Amino acid sequence: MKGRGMNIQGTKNMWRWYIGGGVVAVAVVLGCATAIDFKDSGREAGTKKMKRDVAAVPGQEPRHNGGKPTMPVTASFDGDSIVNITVDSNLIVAITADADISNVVGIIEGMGGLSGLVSQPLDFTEIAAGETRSITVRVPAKTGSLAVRIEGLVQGYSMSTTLELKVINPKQAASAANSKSGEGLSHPEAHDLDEPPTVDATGQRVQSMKAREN
Amino acid sequence: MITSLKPLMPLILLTLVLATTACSQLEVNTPSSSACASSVADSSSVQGAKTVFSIPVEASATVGAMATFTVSGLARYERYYPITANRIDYSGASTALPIRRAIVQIMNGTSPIASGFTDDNGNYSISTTATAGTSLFVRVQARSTTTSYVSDGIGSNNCSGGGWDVRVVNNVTGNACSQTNAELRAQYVLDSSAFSAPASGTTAMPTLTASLTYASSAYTARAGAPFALLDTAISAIETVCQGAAATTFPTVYVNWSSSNTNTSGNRYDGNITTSFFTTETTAKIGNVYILGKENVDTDELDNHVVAHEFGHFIENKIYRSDSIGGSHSLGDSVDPRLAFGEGFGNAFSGMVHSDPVYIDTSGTSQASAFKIDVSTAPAAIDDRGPWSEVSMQYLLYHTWVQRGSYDSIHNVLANYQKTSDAPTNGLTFASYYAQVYGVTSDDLQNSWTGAGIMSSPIDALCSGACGTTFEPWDADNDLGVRYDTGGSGPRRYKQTTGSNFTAPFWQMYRTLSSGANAATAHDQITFGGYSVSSTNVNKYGVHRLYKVTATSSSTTVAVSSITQSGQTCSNGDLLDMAVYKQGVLLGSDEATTGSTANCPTVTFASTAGQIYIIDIAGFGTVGSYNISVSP
Repeated sequence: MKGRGMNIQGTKNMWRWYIGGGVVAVAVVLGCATAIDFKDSGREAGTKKMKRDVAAVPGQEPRHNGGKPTMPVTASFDGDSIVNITVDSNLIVAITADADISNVVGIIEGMGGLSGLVSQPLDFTEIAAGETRSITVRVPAKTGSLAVRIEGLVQGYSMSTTLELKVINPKQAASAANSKSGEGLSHPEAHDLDEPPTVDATGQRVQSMKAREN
Repeated sequence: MITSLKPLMPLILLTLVLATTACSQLEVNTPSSSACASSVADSSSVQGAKTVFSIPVEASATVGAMATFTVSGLARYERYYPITANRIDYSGASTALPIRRAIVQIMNGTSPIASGFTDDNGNYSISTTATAGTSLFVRVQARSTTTSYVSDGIGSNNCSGGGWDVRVVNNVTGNACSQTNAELRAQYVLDSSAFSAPASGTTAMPTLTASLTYASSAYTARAGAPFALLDTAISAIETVCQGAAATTFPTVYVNWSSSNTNTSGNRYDGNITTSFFTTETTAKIGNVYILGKENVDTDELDNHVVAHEFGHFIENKIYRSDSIGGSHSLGDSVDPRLAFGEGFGNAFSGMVHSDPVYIDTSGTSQASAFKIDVSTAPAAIDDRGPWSEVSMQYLLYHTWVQRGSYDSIHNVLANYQKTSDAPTNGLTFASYYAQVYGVTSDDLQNSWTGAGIMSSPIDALCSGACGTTFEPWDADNDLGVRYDTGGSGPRRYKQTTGSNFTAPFWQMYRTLSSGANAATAHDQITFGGYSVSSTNVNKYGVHRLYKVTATSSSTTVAVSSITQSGQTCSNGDLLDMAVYKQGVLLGSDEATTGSTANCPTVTFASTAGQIYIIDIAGFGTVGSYNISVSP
């Protein structure tokens, strides 16, 4: 099973959408929010995607936990969490519930190079199990992230989550590659984690942080 | 030995660097073992705490006489706390806490020349020898390791004689090889400024603080984060030691980075999806991954989340977990094995921190959150049962509160549930607890039967009506009878809407006999009100469990026919089968084509009289299926 949140994360090749140079005939269509129906995309039963990753080797333990409790909702660009763009684009963010969620409120905000971007509030208050809602966001051709912020009631329990979707402009890749995170977005102010790892005389790799002394 | 290595040290380091550089150039997502083999081999010599302390190479130029002296000081870290107002509270100054039981090294350049540990107050005092005037510094590792812990008499002192190795490392390496070789992940360390080796006496270091500061809606320092993670791990270890003081914990890596975010992909790029526990490599080394991306989801300060994941490590390595994994949410009706594991994680976090309120923050400025009060019984009747992590967390936490100690829970998990033929779940735990401590002890019976709590029949913990013997099979299906129509009302699947299934559906295990076993209401696959999706294959009703007592040295279990529109044994792929013995997978059939694609068959080596668990998993709705057992 390669579903979201498995304790052993998938190592699939993360193929990414490329939109650029006027190439618009791809699934995430520029300026056409309704051209793609994300509903239940790739989620039908009885397919390989539904396979449970029971241990293939006899004697090997099965996977054993699903991480922390999470709000049963995912956000994606048609199933992927990363999109590449080289021109300003209308990106369709698909929000799918794995269980019924009521009293939904949410918004999408830009981060990093997309700071300042704020979507309209989500225009739905309920989302049923298996249902996908879409929202179109106009995104400038910059490297950054979209933070999809959602709150709601899940079977009577109040839950919230923020789901990150990464937007990459390959033209900015060179500068981004120089950053620690590969994006240069995560901690613009906290530089105490920025030291490149070193190796001590015993061979141990260390990530050095300077102590404050007093 | 040390002297003989000294001339080779530059070569060793060069080899390591070259091997790593070569590996770093790989762009594949999943490295082959051969591609990373050199790095693994090179680094293997530095594994383990012992090596860290066994190469006291001192290579600087001499400027004075050798001197023996002591370096002492205090190491601490700063943190903020999540609060019930559902956010991280940055309103005041951060709190400084001692860095407990961490490795402290006296460093001469890149060489550790002496080492010791902080005590539970964060103090250290290390004697060493160096040439007077040599420039040295103190390094505090976000790592705690010991093979036979001796209590320092400070704070919690449950552990004695046991050992552990907790390493907080940076998993974001950009190096695919680090996915399978944790030694390539950098150990977080806190370094002091330099000082000159004295001619004698004691050098009192200034207090070393791993800062955590937040100003103008952003972190300005996060060095405290790795030490906050280490501190929760120490608290978790102390909790387990309350059950067994000399517990030996295997190595666990706590992987954290400020780039760890909830996108899926390569962990070495920070795309970890969520905070979780897993095992890695064929050695099944424990690894906890923790989110850290500011304004998205950071968990290093959500100390209950960290304890929850560390609880999975404990469960996996000290106890036993048969959980099938997968995403889960509050109020879910999930596979009972998963429900128990996640309920344990939630409850354990409350025990570790002596605080029942689990808070998970996220969002802009970490100002959104939800909370779980594990001391609160499940509110809805349909959330009461072994398939509910809310029920399981309450059962465990309430038992801990009533007991006033973790000792009994540890004993049941480590010495009874771990070796049970039954899968790990609430029925197994409660029945063994009743057997060992008595059904009325620690309010167990009330927790299990209470109308406002689990509202389940006590006879489910026994064979037939309860007397003095408790066991985990519920062969007469007291659970199902209650959840069908009896008692305080039927359970539905899922939750307040949906079908009211009959008793056989709710039966934890159906006992199979040799020969044909005609379908009953147990033998169906339903997602209830959940969507039929890969995310939901861990929900109740999607995995059906069976108990088989072998009669021969080889046993074959097969789905002999399937009843579902458009489906035949070879046309479709809706069913898989796995066979377990005490949680260990013996065999499985996950064929996607052929005669067993829809009618899985597993033949396994067996011992007459021994009990085996059959798990038939569905990947879509199946009305019914027949099962045969041979012999």
